[in-house]
Amino acid sequence: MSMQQTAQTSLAGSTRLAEQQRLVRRLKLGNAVGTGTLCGIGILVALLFVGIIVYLLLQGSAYLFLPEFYSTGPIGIRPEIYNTFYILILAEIISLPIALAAAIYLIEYARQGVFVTTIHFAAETLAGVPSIVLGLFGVLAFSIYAHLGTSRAAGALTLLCLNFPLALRLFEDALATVPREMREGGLALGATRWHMIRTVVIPSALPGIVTAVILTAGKIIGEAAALLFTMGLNNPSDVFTLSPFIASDTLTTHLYYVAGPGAGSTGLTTAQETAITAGSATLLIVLLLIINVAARGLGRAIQRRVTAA
Amino acid sequence: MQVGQQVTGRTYPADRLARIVFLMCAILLIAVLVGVFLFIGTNAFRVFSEGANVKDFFFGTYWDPSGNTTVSGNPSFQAGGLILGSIVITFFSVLIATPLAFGMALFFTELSPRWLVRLLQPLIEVFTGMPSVVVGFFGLIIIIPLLQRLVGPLVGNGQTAGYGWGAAILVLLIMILPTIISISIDALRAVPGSVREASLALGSTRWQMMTRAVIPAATTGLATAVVLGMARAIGETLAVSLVLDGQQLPKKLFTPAVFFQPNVNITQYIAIDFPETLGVGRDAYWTLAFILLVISFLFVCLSRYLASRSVYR
Amino acid sequence: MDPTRLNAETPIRTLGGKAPAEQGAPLETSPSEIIGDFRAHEKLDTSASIKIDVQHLNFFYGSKQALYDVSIPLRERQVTALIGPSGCGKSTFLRTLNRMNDLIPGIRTEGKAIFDGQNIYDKSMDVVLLRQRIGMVFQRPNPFPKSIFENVAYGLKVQGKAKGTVSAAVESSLRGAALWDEVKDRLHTSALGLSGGQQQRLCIARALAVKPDVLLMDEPASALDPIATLKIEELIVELAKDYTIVIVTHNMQQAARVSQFTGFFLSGKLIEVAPTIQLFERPKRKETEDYISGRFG
Repeated sequence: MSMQQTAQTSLAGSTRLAEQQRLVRRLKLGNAVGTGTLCGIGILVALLFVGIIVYLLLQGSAYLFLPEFYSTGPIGIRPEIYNTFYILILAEIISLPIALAAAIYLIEYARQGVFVTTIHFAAETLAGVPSIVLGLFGVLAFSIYAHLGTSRAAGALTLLCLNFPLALRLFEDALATVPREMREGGLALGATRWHMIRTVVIPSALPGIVTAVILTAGKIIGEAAALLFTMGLNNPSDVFTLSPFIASDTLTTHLYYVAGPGAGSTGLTTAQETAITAGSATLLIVLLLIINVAARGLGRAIQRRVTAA
Repeated sequence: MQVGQQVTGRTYPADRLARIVFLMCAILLIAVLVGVFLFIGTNAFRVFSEGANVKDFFFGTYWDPSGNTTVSGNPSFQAGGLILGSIVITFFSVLIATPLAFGMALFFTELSPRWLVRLLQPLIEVFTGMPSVVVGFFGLIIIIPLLQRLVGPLVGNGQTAGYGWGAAILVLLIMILPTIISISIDALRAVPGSVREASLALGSTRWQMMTRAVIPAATTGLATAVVLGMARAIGETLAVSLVLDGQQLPKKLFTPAVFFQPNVNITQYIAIDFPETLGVGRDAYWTLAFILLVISFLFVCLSRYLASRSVYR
Repeated sequence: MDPTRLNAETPIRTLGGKAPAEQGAPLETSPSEIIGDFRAHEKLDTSASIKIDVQHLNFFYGSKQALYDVSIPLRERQVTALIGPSGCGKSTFLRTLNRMNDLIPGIRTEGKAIFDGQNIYDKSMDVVLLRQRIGMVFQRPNPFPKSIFENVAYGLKVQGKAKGTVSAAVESSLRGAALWDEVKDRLHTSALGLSGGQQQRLCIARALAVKPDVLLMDEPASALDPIATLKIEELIVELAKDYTIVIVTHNMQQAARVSQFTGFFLSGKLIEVAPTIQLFERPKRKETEDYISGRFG
């Protein structure tokens, strides 16, 4: 290239460069605005979440330290605490083995195909049904048709329907983490499928299974709409028995009733109602946090024990 | 064979039995779902043979299945107001939640340092599990008094200005935000790093990479997030019921004040009125339940369709 | 040989030497037999101006050093190939040139790379502008899940270019990447429907569309079949007329075929850099000779 040509190209090159620099400066401004907005939104939402949880924790915390809160008196929620754990255990006892069995079938026995897809589709659909609708179904199927009336049994069976999809998916995930080689190793030693599952797969999937139990427990504790009509809003006098045929309310349904439809008609003063509702709300948040911490921590701890041993 | 039996102690019949039991449990899931549709579906149409007609049911606005408040004492099966309420609060809550959720999800996946991600993740998970009553209670003690103070004087409803669709929208916002955020985060994470690298290597800014490369690659996943948020919103009961507090659809619909007075929607009315209603009135509630059932089913079908069209899983 | 006329029927043998699929195998045929067909060495210009002058580059992932005192001149309109066994740092080095390593947290760069009078590694260097001027093609084709047109137009739209300019630029880039004839009738179909080799040429067209000064290629043909690889190599030789190209490859024959200069990396150090013919026929260092003759790698 001649000297003149070189000079011309470099002049053209430098104006092009200047143009590019201007352009990039504009782009960077847009970038700063955009990412700045995102950071703003992110921080705002995070603060919103934290703020709500902290507020709910604090506003009723005073009541958690009152012994009357745990009694059977006017502001006592001992029956509700008892009922919550009762229904939790009853529902888990009914639903977890069934969900685990179904998960075992899907992962260990079934071939990927129409059947598995159908089950997953059904699970997704069932999971998408609003819990109030499941509650109404429970009234029809269990309270009326099965003659269980408004009872803990009806409530537990309704919770089975509610819990099934979530438990199934969590158990499937837990079983799926077991590597194929382990299963093949078991079978190669001459064990039958079921024996191999019992002795190899399930112990290996234990962390995931425990996590599943804890997470479903969390969901059950927080559930109210499905229990509203199947388990009721009142407690009979023999509430502390183990009978599944009596009606009872839980922390959540009780909170709903006192704060909403029953406000002013329970024969309690406003202060007492506030104590119940505020305290119950805080207690529920505390339970929720414990469950979340437990789900993470226990799962990891068991994993460490199982893999280290 | 003999040795094997001694060593493991298993028997073939037990194996076969186990397999059948497990299969039964899997089929039980389908049975439950079919049962739900059957039980509610067969009861859902009875109301139309007891005096309700379809057009009034969907478009009339006076809902009184027990006939307690009608002049003639006859039940009035007009769910138009309830349906409108559900549609309005679902629409607006999703409308407000979606940009916030997308922004949060982008912040989480593209801009947050690792320590912040480790903090935010459990926060989102905890919030997803918030019981509906607790959020409704929060609405009662914080949102409603706030709205009363802010909007009451403007609307002139006094004591009841905090209740209604406005409060319900805010409460729903809190409930569906974590859902949309989580699913959006999954959708964004499914976009492989190579797409981001390609964009940056061509001289784009981070913001351009996000808006021109990542989001377009994640559209079906993001759409699924919105659909599932909508599904959750329309079925939400207790939180909404605590803040709506209405008996009927208000008369004046087309003013902004309609958001700030006691109001109604489908789930709220079921929660409040179902236990009080007996006999013929109950049939109307099966119909409402069936409507919700069908809507939720359609949402699930939509989300599965979207998932099947995604580019990256 | 017109790259657009290569097709599945073109026998590999007519292109001389060993099939490119035998990567890393020792050179049993003499280098000049292989190099001969592309004639890349004829374009060698040792006096070409230095486009990027890398001086004493030291690079760290946190506390672990990955590159030791690398100095190499990358000359204008010449193809510089970087060879070496896996994990020797050649890709890391390539990615420092357009600051793509910045995406990894905890990295540290010492040294200089002078590009148009500025130091690339300087903190005040505008990386967005840098990447518009130094483009990159990756090992695995990574087209966006958009149409072919939108892929090539991406860089231009990012710069806010007008629609008319964009369409013309898309066509010329696709021609330049030897892909136009194959896709001109389906510009608005999804890029993911192309074959691997076509996708890679699409990525090259996409990189060319913003008219960079330098094109970095990180093992561009390693994920492709032999025919597609050959097409890419032809393309590189063709592109070298207008662009400065730096290509990382673990295929020595490929380096010998397409480049004018070659640098040999080993364990994070640049052992030797020289004109390609010289490096392959008369390597100065023992490590280079060992690698080339297949004693390791």
